[in-house]
Amino acid sequence: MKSRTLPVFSLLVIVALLLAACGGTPTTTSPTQPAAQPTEPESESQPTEPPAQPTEALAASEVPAGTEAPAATEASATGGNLIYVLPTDIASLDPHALIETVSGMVDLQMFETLLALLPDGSVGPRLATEWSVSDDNLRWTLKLREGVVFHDGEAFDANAAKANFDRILNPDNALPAVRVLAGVTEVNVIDDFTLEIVTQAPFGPLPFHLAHYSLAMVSPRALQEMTPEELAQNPVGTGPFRFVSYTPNESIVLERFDDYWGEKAKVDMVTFRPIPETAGRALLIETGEAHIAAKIAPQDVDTLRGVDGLHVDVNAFPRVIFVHMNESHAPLDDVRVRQALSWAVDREAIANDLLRGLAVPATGPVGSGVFGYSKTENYGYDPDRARELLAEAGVEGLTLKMLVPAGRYQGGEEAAQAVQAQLANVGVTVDLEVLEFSTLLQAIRKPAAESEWDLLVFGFIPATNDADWQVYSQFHCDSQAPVSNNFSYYCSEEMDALLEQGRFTMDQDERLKVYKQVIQLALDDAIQLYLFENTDIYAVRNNVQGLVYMPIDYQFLNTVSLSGGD
Amino acid sequence: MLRVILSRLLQAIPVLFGVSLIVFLLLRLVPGDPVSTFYGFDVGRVEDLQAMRHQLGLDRPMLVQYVDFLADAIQGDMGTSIKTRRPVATELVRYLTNTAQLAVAGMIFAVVGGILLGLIAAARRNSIWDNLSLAISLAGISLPIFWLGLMLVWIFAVQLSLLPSGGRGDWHNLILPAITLAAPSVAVIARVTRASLMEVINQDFVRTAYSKGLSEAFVLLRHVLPNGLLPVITVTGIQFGYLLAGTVLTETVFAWPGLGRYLVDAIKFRDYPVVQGGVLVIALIFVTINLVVDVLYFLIDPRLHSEAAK
Repeated sequence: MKSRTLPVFSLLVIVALLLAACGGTPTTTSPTQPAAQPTEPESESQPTEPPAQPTEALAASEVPAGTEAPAATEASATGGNLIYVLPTDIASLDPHALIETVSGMVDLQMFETLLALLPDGSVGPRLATEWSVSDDNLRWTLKLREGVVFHDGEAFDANAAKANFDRILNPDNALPAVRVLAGVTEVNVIDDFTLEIVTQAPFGPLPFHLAHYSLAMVSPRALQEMTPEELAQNPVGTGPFRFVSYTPNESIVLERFDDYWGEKAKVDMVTFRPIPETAGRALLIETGEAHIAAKIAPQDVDTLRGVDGLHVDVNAFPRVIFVHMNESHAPLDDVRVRQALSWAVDREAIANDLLRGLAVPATGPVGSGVFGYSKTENYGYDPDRARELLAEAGVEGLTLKMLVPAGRYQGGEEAAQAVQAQLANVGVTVDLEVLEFSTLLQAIRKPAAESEWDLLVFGFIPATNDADWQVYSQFHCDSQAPVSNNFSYYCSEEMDALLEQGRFTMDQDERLKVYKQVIQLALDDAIQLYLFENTDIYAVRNNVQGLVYMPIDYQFLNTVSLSGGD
Repeated sequence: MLRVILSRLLQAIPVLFGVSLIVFLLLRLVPGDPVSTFYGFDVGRVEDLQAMRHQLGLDRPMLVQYVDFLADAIQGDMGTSIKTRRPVATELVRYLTNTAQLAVAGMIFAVVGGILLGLIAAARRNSIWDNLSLAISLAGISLPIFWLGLMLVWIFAVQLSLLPSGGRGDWHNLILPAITLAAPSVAVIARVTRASLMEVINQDFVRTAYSKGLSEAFVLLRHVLPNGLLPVITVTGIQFGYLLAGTVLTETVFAWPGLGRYLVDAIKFRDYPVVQGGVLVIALIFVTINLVVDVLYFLIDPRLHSEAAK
């Protein structure tokens, strides 16, 4: 027995050690890898050279920059490696295949759109310098910037832009970006630096759409030579940063693009690190392993505020959390009942006490940073009035089924419970059901006749930062679920006329006036029950300078620099 | 010998087939689908959803989809992730490597720590050392991984700034997650080692060894330990399976990009090809581990030889 167990055991140990050794220096497996990087554990201050290889499978084993603890705090006055913590991994490096802002944030460092959002929420020039619309409001002419080159050396011109739009508009490609171009019928080259975009009907929000990250310009050569799978891993844009490497769930590394036409990046490199755990994000910034951490959880704010060397930025974030009231179900078709429910909810208490001031009571359906926002008077907290209205409508012993997506919105579930308690106070019983997001979608994307819920907690931020994106999809008769986001099954001619006017109007100031009426009508009809606006919380080391927050949660990092200490 | 392996391999086929079918059906029975999850509320037109479903082949009859999946999987093609549009097979290899790295590092901690604690406890039975070893084992098995992990991070990353708080990198990044992962296994291995060694310590040949004047350390390491290790090896094998499968919590705490986290994300997203491929690969791993264990037993236990010969 002795003679057998000992060898077996030693074998086991040897195998284990071998495996560990292979795991520790994992550059051995792929023939395409550059030679193993000497990774001295002591050399913590120097930013590690990222792998020159793009993304392939075993690049995963390369040592990603930024994993060494104090690198972040010891960046020099010029350049340095900016380490930015993301709340999730990115989905794709192909902007046309994107649908969410985390990927959008990363892609916008490497790619540029024709127009771009400005910090005040309006739209300004980027790859296009000026734009105008024809007299029939159907033809938009854009002057393109000259002297812009892609990271692969290709020149940017009208043909390059057209190649991008053609790719998106081709229905065979089934690219998510097409949703931002709905209504655009064709894109024409007028001359080398003039582009024409033709829409089916007048479409006032178009400039905001052209600033959306999924309409970013990809090198025409890349579009021609790469498959969709390759494009998803090899981004080639015109932005201030150039792609270096991507290791899924670990890091995305970018470096400064020296031939950038605009304000050149101040840092040498940017490393994005996706950390889905909220506690993990807070820790990375606390230990100084990162410079900027996005989406800090409310429970971590107090701790981080007590840490030296960093500050916490609580930004308004124009996502409004509200409750859809299913008007296909009696008695919610009665405006008095909807108003009663609106009066019964104490928004101040929810925002200030329950969510500890990290939320702002909503004034209406549209968030405060969005183009089209107007300050309006939301329903106050008046349970007596709620009871009167319910009595007037002849409603007694009402029981409603409320759906909430799990973990989707900051404060969403807590607020739903508060609403449940506050409605109980006026005699309305709420059965609360928390559903996983995919399951919830399945349950609500149905025509009115099949809907089996009364209240639905919902959050929305218009991806284009233009109110049209939100209100048209939520209030128009033609947008009723399952087609789009009108889950209230609301329908009124007055509203439809206003929404269409908002689209047909080209003058942006005029559009603002239209949306003010839309918002007021939404409140009068109590289409939804508006709760609060989320905030967007960032933790930033003090040596980070020049960080400018955009209204939707992204930043352009070329303006950011790192100073010596912190 | 060869017959045993062959018969085990043949038995594995219906298992893998069954697993693939169950996963395929379960995924489609659960409410929600990848395309509407992908778009969320950011939908322009319903036609866009339909176009994407068509492009992904999700509008075909279920049977066709299943046969297609199976035919591709047999050739090693697991399809393309709906979320990332990257090949599933490549992704699985990457994340599996990361998880294996963590599990092996955890195993080393578990084996070394467990045997050491068990040896001390057995050698100094009912002493303070024995009790201390018991206390450490108990703590290891009772502490929730989340809490233990965060505590270790708080001490070694936040307070002492000795180790990184998470993520993958060089061997520094492995230490804390490996310890966290190993804690429950240390306890199990320590208890088994103690019990097994105590049996050996009481045997005649150990007394003989002592009476020859050999030192205690020599007797323990050369005579007692090797003879008491068989049950430890069995337990270690089982624990390794647990470590491979149980990394998801540790991966979450330490932002370790492993298979567990990857699969949980894929399930949330209803990323059909990823979940199907991932579960199939895990099933394959378990089948392989079982096969290896069977073969090992066969090699160690002579009685099995004679049975096979009949």
